Formats: sequence, structure tokens, C-alpha cells
Amino acid sequence: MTYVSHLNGLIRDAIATADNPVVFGQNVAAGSCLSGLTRGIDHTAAQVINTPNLENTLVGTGFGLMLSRVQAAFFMKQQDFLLLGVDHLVNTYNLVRRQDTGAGSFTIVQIVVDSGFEGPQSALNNLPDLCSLARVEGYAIANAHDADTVVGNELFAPGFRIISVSQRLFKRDMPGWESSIEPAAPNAVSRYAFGDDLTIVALNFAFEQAVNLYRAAQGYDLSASLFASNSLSEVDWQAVTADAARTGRLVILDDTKSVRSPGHILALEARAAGVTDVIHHRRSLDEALLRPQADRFEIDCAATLAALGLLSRPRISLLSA
Amino acid sequence: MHEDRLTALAERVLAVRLGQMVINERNKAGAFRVPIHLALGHEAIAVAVSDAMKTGDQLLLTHRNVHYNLARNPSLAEKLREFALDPTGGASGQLGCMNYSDAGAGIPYTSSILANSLSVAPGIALGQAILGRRVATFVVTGDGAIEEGAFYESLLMGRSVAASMVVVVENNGWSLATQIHERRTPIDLEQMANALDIPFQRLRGNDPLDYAEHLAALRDEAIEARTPALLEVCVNTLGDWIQETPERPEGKLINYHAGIAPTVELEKGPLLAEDIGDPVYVLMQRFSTEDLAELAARAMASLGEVSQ
Repeated sequence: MTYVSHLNGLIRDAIATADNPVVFGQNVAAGSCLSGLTRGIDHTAAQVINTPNLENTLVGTGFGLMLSRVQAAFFMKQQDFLLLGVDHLVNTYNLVRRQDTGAGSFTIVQIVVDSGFEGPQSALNNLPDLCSLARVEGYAIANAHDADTVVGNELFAPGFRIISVSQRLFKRDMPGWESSIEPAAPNAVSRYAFGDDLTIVALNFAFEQAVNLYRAAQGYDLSASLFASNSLSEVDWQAVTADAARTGRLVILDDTKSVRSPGHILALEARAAGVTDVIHHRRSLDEALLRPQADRFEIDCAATLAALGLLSRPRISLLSA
Repeated sequence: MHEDRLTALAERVLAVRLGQMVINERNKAGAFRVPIHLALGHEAIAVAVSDAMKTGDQLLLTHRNVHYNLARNPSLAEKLREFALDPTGGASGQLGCMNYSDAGAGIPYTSSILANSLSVAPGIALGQAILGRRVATFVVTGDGAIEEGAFYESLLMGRSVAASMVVVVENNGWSLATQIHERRTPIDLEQMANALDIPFQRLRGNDPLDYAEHLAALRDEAIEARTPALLEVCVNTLGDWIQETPERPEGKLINYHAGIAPTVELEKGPLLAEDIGDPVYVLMQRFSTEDLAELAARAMASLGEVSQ
């Protein structure tokens, strides 16, 4: 099943079990229905509203619905548009969050246009920055586990959060995992595998790259611990730093363009825990990102393992690729 | 009946005026650390909006909200304690003045950010409709906030989702220290309303009965037609003064925006200007001096006990 079909099924299921929710946004029930994300919503189970293009007011309206104790989800074509509603993410939320809104709920589901070739605009993927402004709960859906735990549990849960989905992944098979994942909860760092030679952590939508590195390590007869966090907000990294202290090596794969992503905090905490070999693969803002290009987050797995001294090459204490 | 209603409204106008004057005196005495934005001169519209509101109606406000809060809930002591950030204040000392809301009085949300409340209002109105309530959501803004995109957005959103809203624009001609003509081209709100096919009213003159009747009709229309309605009301924000400086020995007009109104003194009584820009002056044309004094005494009593 494709990434978008999997999400669409979860969204429709969540709507069916919610209490008369409101689902709104531009083209949520028209045209391609956001490339299939909101296709087939049961109009008898929800108030479905195709709205005008009013991002600031649409975010404010979501909070107004939440204040009225209604369950609401705003589906937004692309994260860049959310910049128009930042006042509400901060100022409105700071008033609403201190009130008892009962079962009132507001979720923004936004598509990150990370499919490339958009040019200098329309490629924002810095949700951690937006979440940081007012300590908003934020999630990225990078695989089936994220989708099931976040959409299944959070879409109409009381309170406010932002859920981020990747356009690059829409038509591809939903990334899965063959083994058990613990813990199976939103807003948690989940362990996908236990290994002895290095610790790998995926952030935002970098799960694919993390799995590639994990498989590459296996190819060199190495075993890796694999973690992923679907949270873009505050994260308890204790499980990861403890594992990295044991393996002695940590690789953070972080495809956001933020300079203050959770990965930076993890790197600091790992070093404080005595992990000296920390590689933080991340994006840098260079000229290439400001013109049409593939916008891909690419990792040289062999070079990464070599830099950690795992391929009988000199070890480097800190490398930022 | 007509006279009784006018008398009741007049008493409430005086209560809102006197309540603000007490707040001003406390502010002069240094009782508050939070910024206070008085709305002297805005009392008639606040009383009329409150009068038009029926059970379940909601009211969203701005940083200049004290007149509406007093009109909806005359307990002055609660406000004084709130502005002093006392835990026994009307909002447990957690909101201060610029965000003072009072859900029990139908005021669920007050924002100090220009035009912010406008975007929240369609959501409140839509939420009430989804819950099956046949009510209106009032949202107050000013002539400065209508310059923000959120003003247009909220009207368009409200019209598009059939939200029963009454948008009240208090036009005092000022935004901070600039008058409209100093900062922008005029905006004809009636034409804007026509463009969006929403009802429009413009009020001036500070007659509380006239205002209340128009507000009630506009509220009913908003509910019946499931539409936003737009009301522009001309107000004079009183409390200005002349400041003499070495550069301007002849004196410079300081428009009241926030803080202390230094020339407003409670002991001189509620009248601040002898023209229809002052709602109290308008009442003086309707009532004898004796009757108005009696109304003022009752208004003061309606504000409740206020500790010294």
C-alpha cells in the first residue's frame, strides 16, 4: 500500500470514530483531495468544508472550533503556507492552551513539499522551528509505525498539534519494519533494532536513510541499534544516549533544514553522556538549496561507517556532513 | 416602556464610564503593573452590544476591552484585582488587562494582537452552529486592525461557511499615534460589505437606545441569514491632553492610547466632553441634571463594593 493510501485509510477511520468532527481546508473534498490524502471522507460522519485560501484565518478558525469544544482538523497543502498562520500558533495557542476546552481538538495536517525541483520557495521542512515557537506538539510521519501511532491516536485527541507528512513519499510504498517496535506510542523515541557496534537515530523523514545505513552496516558484518523519533518537539533522549554510550558511536540522520532541530539537542546530550563519536548528518543552507534541485537527503553509508572507524579506517571524533 | 429601556441603558453607560474612571484613579496611584487601555467615550457601543447579546452568544475582544467587560459583568472589584494580578481577580490574576476574558459573561477570548480575534471568531461561530446552537458570535475590532489581512479573511471565511457573526469596528480614527489620514487611504467598509454580500450598518451619535436597537436587528439578521454582519461605529476615545514641551511651548495634543488619562478625574463627575462624542453628554440631552445624578449614583452602586 502506498504511503498516501495508508494515511488516507487512517484518516477516514479516525473521522468515523470521532464525535462529529470538522475537516476543513483548501480542496479537502475537491479535485485530487490533496493528492489523495483526504479522498473519500464520509460526509455523513464529519462536517467537510472546502475553504477559501485564508491560511491565517483557517488556523485561527481551528482554534475557535477547539474553544467551542469541537474536534477539528485542518488539512494544508504545504508547510510553507503555515507561515501565514504563525501568529495563531503562538499567540492564540498560548491563550487557548490555558483554558479547559474539554474534548475540543485542533490538528493541522500539513504536507511537506520535499519532492524537489520547486525552486527557492515551496520547500520548507522546518517544522521543528515552528513547533519551538510555542512548544507545540509536532509529528512527522516517516513510516507505517508513525502513521499508525500518530494519526490513529492523535488526529482528534483533545488539544492541539501539527502532523507533518512527506510529499516525496506519497506514491511510494509506506515504509515498514519487520520486527517489533518499542514503545508503540506517539511522542516517543522508538527502538527498531538492537545492536552492538553503533547507534543510528532517524529524525523527521530520514527513516529511509537510517534503514539504508542499518542495512549497510549489516553488509559489513556490523550490528546497529536503530531508533526513530516521530516527534519534532521536546524529546526524552535518555534511551538513545544510554544505547550510544554502550555502542560508543552515534549517527543522527536529520533531514530538516532547521539549525535548531531535536538532533542538535541529541548530539549535545550524547556528548554529555560520554559518547565521543557522534556524526550528525544534516542539511546545510547552501546555494544549491535555493534553486530547483532534487532536494534529497543523501548519505554515503560506507563513508559514515568508515568515519566511525568501523571499516578499519582512522576514527574521527566529530564529523558533520 | 421606551423610557424605561433608555433609563436602564443610560445607567449602564454611566456604570461603564464610572468604572473606567475608578480604574484610571487606581492606575494613577500606581496599583497596576499591566498596561491598561481605557475606552472612555466607547461606552454606548459596549452597552449596546452587551444588551443585544442573548443567552449563548459569544463576544471576542481586543486589548481595549475594559468597557465590554464592565458592560457584561459590572463587578469592578474583580477587574481591579485582576489588573493588580491578584489571584482573586476575575481571571485569577492570570490574564491582566489586555487579555481579560470572562467566559461566564460570554467572553471566551480576548487577544492583544492586532486583528487576531477576527480569525478566531469564524471558528467559534461555526462551532456553535455545529453544536446546534442558534446564537451569534460578536467580535470587536478597531480601525487600525481592519488594515490587517485577517479582517478581510475573517469576513470572507465567515461568509463562506455561513457563520452568524457580528463584526463591530470601533472607528476612533487613530492607531497608536497616527490618524487614519496619516497612514493610509480611506476604507469604505460599506463597499467592502457589499462586495462580500454581507449586511452593513454604520452608527454614530452615541445614543445607547438607537445603538441597541440596531445591534439587536443586526444580530437577528446574522442568525437568520447565517452570515457575518458588519457594523462600523464612530467613537471618540476621550482622555486626550495637551502636553507642553520646550519644542512645542504652545502645547501638543496627545491622543489617549493607553495608561493613565491624566486630565480625567473621578471627582469632577462622569462628563468628559461637551459634544456628542461623549456618550454622557448625549445622556444629558435626554435626562434632567437631577435624574442623571440619580442614575450615576445607581450606576456607581451597580459596580459593587470596591476596597480602598
